[in-house]
Amino acid sequence: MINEQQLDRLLAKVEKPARYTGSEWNEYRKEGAFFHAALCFPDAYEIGMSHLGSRILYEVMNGQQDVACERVFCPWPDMERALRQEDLPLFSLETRRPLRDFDLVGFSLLYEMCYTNVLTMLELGRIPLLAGERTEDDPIVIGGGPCCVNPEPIAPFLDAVVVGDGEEVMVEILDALTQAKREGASRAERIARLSRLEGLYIPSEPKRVRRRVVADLEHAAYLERPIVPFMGIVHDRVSLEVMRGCTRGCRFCQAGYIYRPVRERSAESLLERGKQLVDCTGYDEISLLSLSTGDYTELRTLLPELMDSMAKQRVSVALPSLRIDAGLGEMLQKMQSVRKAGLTFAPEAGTQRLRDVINKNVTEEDLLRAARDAFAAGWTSVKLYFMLGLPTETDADILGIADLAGKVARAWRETPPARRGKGLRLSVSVSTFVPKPFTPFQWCPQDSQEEIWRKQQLLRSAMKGVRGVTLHCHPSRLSLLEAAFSRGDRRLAEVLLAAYQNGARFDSWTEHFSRDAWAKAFETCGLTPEEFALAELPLDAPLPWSHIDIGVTADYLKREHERAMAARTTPDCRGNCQGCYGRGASCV
Amino acid sequence: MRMIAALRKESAAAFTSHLDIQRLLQRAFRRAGLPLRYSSGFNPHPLLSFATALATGHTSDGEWFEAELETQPPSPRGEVGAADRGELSPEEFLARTNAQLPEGLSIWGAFAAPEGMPSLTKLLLSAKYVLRLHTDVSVTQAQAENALAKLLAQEEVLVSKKTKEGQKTVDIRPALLDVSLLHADEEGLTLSVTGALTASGGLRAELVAQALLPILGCSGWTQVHRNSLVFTAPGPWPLAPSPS
Ligand code: SF4
Repeated sequence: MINEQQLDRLLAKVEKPARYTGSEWNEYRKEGAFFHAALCFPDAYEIGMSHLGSRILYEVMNGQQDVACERVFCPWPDMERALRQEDLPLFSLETRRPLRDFDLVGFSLLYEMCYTNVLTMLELGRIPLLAGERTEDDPIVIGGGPCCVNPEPIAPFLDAVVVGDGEEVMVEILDALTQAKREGASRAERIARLSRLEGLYIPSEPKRVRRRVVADLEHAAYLERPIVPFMGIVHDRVSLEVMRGCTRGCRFCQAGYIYRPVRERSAESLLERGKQLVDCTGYDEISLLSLSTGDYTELRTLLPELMDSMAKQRVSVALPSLRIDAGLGEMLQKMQSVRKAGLTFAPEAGTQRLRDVINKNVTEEDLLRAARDAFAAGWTSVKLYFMLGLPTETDADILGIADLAGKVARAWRETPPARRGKGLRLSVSVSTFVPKPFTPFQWCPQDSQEEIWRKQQLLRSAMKGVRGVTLHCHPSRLSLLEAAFSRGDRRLAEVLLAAYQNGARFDSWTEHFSRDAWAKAFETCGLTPEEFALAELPLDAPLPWSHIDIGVTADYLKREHERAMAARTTPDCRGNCQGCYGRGASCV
Repeated sequence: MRMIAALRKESAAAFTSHLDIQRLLQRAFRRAGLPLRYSSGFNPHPLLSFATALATGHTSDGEWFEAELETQPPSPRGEVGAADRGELSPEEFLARTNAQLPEGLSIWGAFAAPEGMPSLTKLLLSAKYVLRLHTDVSVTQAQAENALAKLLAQEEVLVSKKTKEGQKTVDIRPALLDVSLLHADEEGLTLSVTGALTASGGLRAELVAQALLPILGCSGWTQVHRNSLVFTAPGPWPLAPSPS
């Protein structure tokens, strides 16, 4: 354990020391447990503590009698330096236990660009980086989260990989490992026991794995007693997951395929939970989370009741993911009483043709109506979100973005000044399309960097003609790496290791991203990011993630791919099954 | 009602910034069922203010603050306003709030502000600190006493201080009211420091250590503990010595 004095010395050297102190309100500290699990989030504290899934797992694990689960976040570079200077190991927040003294070390893998941080944490935690080099005394290292639908680029660093929802399988993992520890089972035996659990993939013995799905969300674990951090975090509020999965079928969206089917919680239990969570945290904001909260069946019951009961306590209700559709105007009216934080609309593409290709079933009229409704209801800050480099995109689609932004700005000017707020703040945010496994676009190439820059330039000059709009283009370098690691295979593990050794850290933070570290790493390994990101993959060859069975079949994705190329849309599958689980199978 | 109390800040909680402490107390009050009142106006904010901020990383025995709570004691004429939820004694305030504070934070010394009492910030005069200076070489008692005498004999004590605009040289002598040695051992020195502290500025205690190190001819790092704040008006806090 790290003692008080060592901690104080470390903390005197770093910015934001509250990232490392623990002992927040509602923290679990279980002294004397038999089995010790570390829940690792490979990013800064304020990011990791904002992730609902990890927080649910923290409670699920601590809910097991013999288990103490403690949190570990990736130390910021200043803390990494301090740990190395003082020759101290990375430690947990709760009891300051060194990472290598845990029985189980689990990583939440939410985005590929956190992979170098996994290596930082392992190394500072004094655990051999490669699974093959670990000895009897080393912890079992596992990974889970959406990245694990294609675990190959990070597989050699993990002893086991969890595919799918974690709440239920985590209990099985803990049972198996606690039992094995009691029996004094060897490392090989412990891993063998994990391999028998459904949803677990063992990188050292690749075989077909089925994704775990929590069928009954209503009775699945809720977050009961969320930790209230000392420092501000990104999502500093009560988060209520109203629904998991989305059936809209946007073809670029991985979440839309890997979290099927749609599962909902009842408005009744959400209301009760919302109140309880506000009482035990003291937060003054509740956010209703899901991939598309506007599609939640009971929203029209839940929202007014929740807002009503919360208003008395000055608690506001936020809906972070609304869709542009007919019901939105009504919803905005209902939210009149709420703080007018910015609204985000995501048409994703600039023309109807391209929106049909990606199956974003939003028309220009939908968007303009939504904008008019929002302006009339007093909103003044609107953000439009688009992607560049989508399959089949032409310059006309890019000019369409500027055109659409211009029409939204016009809708503002046409709103009677008496009804609208003062001063429109309209921003257009443009990111680069990343082809993702388990989407109908998984075979599609990403645009080259040069092509993306050309397109960004084209858009910039087209936007010059649109008054009062600010344009943000996300840097495309990261998207290239993200595409490579999304669609890559095990050869990338070597690149990852080399990049880490070259100093790559916190790659998703622009201030830390090191182009050189990555360029050199690819060169050393005789590979390029382009060969993974820009390749058009043959529709019939096996893919690096073909051994993962997500539920949605490859045939269905192919069918959707073909419809996309023909700009044909597919309707929402609620009550209108499109057969994505294959003939004779169903998601429920 | 306007409640005045002191927050004790120790161990890990010391690393919480001033802004985060305010937010944390606000949430603790809500959990305790004693929500803060909000200012009126376009952008209402909760009515909670500290006499002064405490630097992140410093511990303290008494950071005095005032909180406007929704709950009011019954008025002297016995009428109870619509917003009233009954009587809230300082004892109950302390018990309910302390039950909702994380490890390392606790409050004490609560009292209802008398009518017309100026804000704490206006009453603030100075503060007393204990500094623990961890030195890289051991310093004897005599060497330490000697260095302190030298420090106090200087007309100007110039140290470099990090500000928003970059490094700046400041003279801390005018704000340094007193410094004495409490203890010297193998690992370093413990000092007692009194510094001016008013709304317009004051001593940053850690700068005393920074000024002392070159005189001692060694390097090291410092931990700062604020013992007490000194105010000009009577209250349960240590009184300022009278000017005579
Ligand atoms: S099986 Fe049918 S209903 Fe279920 S997610 Fe697939 S298309 Fe939708």
